[in-house]
Amino acid sequence: MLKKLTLITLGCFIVISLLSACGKTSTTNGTAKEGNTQKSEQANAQSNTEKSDEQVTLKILNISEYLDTPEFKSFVERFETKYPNIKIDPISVPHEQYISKRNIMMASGESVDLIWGNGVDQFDAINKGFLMPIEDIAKQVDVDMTKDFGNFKADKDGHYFRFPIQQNNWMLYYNKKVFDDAHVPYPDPKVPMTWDEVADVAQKLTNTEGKTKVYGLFYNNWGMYYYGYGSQLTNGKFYTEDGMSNINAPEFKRSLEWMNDVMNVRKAAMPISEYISNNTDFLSYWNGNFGMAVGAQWYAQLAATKKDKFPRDWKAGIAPMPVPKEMAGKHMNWSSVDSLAVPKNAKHPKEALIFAKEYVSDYTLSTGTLPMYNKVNADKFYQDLANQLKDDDITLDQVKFLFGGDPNTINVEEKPILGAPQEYESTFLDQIVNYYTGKATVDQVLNDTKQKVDKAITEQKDK
Amino acid sequence: MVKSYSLERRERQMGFLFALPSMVGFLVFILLPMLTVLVLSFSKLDLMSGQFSLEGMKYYNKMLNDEDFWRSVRNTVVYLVIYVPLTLTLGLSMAMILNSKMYLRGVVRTFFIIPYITTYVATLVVWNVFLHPTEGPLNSLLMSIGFSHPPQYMVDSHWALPVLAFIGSWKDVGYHCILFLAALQGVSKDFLEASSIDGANRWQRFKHITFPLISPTTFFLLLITIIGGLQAFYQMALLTKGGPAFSTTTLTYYIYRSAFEFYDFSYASAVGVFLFALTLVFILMNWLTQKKWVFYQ
Repeated sequence: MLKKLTLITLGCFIVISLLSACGKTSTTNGTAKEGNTQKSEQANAQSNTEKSDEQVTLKILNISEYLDTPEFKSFVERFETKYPNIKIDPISVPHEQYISKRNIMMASGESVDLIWGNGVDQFDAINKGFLMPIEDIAKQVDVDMTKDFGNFKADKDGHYFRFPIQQNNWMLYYNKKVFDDAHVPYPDPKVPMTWDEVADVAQKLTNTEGKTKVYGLFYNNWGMYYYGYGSQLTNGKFYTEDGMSNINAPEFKRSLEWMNDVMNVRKAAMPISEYISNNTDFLSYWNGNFGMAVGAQWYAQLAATKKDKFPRDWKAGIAPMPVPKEMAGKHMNWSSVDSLAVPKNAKHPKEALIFAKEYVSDYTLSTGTLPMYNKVNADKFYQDLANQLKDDDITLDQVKFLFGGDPNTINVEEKPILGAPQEYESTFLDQIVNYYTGKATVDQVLNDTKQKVDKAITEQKDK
Repeated sequence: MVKSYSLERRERQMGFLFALPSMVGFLVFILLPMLTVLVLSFSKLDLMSGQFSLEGMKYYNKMLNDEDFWRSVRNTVVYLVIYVPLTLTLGLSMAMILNSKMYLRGVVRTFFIIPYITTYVATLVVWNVFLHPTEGPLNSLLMSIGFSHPPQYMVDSHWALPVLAFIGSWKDVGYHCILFLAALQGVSKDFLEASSIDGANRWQRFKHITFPLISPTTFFLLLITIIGGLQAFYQMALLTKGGPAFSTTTLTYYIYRSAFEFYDFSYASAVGVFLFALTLVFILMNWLTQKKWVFYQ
């Protein structure tokens, strides 16, 4: 009897738990068409917006670099005063754990109202069906996705899934002291160096014999530092016409070989084995032991203007991002858009976009970044940033030119973002170590990467 | 008769009540997740939209045709082949040293157990420094004696997995040492003295007396070492992230990557079920062969 009772209890427990885990309204055929789903998401959003006077709490998932700051706390206070019916519940995650945390939250069905992401993160989320289209809800909060963010285009199937925050503006940062010590003239403030010139200058700046090693070039172990030169050569063509990986194109090979020349032949950049073993942080450039670094506006916002956190006895300079010799004289940029997006199970999509609008209008500027939202006064941003950088003898004119004010800038994709972007980046970074440590040829590494990424893209298409 | 039946029933009920907390814990934290993983490996579940669909053997077919999966199986087996014998041999050797008469035995025992009680993160930080390719003490020593290109350990696709297996073994060997030591101290001196009188040398005494008498402990440690080896994860997650070039991606890290990095929970579940089956096979093989070498007194 007892045995039976135990078995029945156990059975009931398992069945109930499994059913409850399967969600509120499970459909067993899984054939709901994407269009219908998107319609129902929009309808859900509509019905939610009708109750906009209710007290709501918004869950915001973002990286700790943006949430754990006094500026963000002040912004939330201002926001909650302006919208007393909306409370903010920020979920702050360190950048390196962000994707895992996001995936766990989405997989467990946890409702979040707004998620942050860079280009790869958000396209990964779009491809995996996490996000809802936002153009209709955006209209309700007086935002026109087609006009209010400059040249920002729809993300997929004519729908906007991303609420853009900022576009990265890449440039060359340099340490004037390292240049002075090596008696090398500073880079031109307006005319970009070619990558070949960068390699020559980096070699001249390098001094690894002294008490402290000085490398001419600092890099991050991120994809664009290896394939970015190739992106400039191919106009950001990371995919072939049939949507497969283009990473084995000769331009990308040339790009990787350039880095190998700087790192392993000229020894003007830290060897990758040392870089990985040191757990080198992207802000390490600001310790003063490197001549140059290609970086975006975040170097200015996180380090150059934060001398209390990154004290330095040297002056920083800025110059346009290096270009291939074929593009000599042109102002180029690796374009990547950080954005906010609304998950498809968000409880308060309209309020989430109200918050997103305030985020780009009120908060983004305080992070030292010019938002893409074109109702923000850009001139004030340039002036404030120039004031913060005046100790480095950086002028307002330079700031305007390099931080988004040059209409002639040629933008190419910073990273592959269309098919299987997470798998693309992750596989590429895993494979290239073998090339830079001399365990495989560049062709082997690129072909292996292509093969794996193509498989991931095909699988994603089949889902 | 009625009374004793009633007493027995009450005792059973009380027993059931006492066991209930542990049963609930087992159900919630072990059985239910296991069953969920099993169900998930045959289905696709989207908790964001509440959609659930049965997919049959789709994820198992994908697994069997996945080159990366087989590479992770191979890496797991290589890890196991290094980790299991190394841990058992070192654990037993250390226990035999500690079982002999020596000065400062207590202090030495403490030193041997330190790696086991130290947190994994701290241990790995130390190893990362020790094996630093250019400035670590080991490579500095190798370069000073003439090796111009010493190994790059964790960033070298040939060295990384053996190094991680060695670190795993170094970390766990203290625990094995303690259990072996307890078993060795349980071996009656009478047997050893009698065999000495009969002319047995040290190796013969170990082979024919000590080893058979500690074989139940050895068997237990063999099982938990195999299970531990199959589940190796920390070193890969914290030191190499499965690289370089997939060389340290073992099955557990592959499951983690599929689920949390690439959001393929169903596929990760299928690989998890495979790992469970593989573990069962290893345990079963050992269980069936134990009659030949495990001696229960």
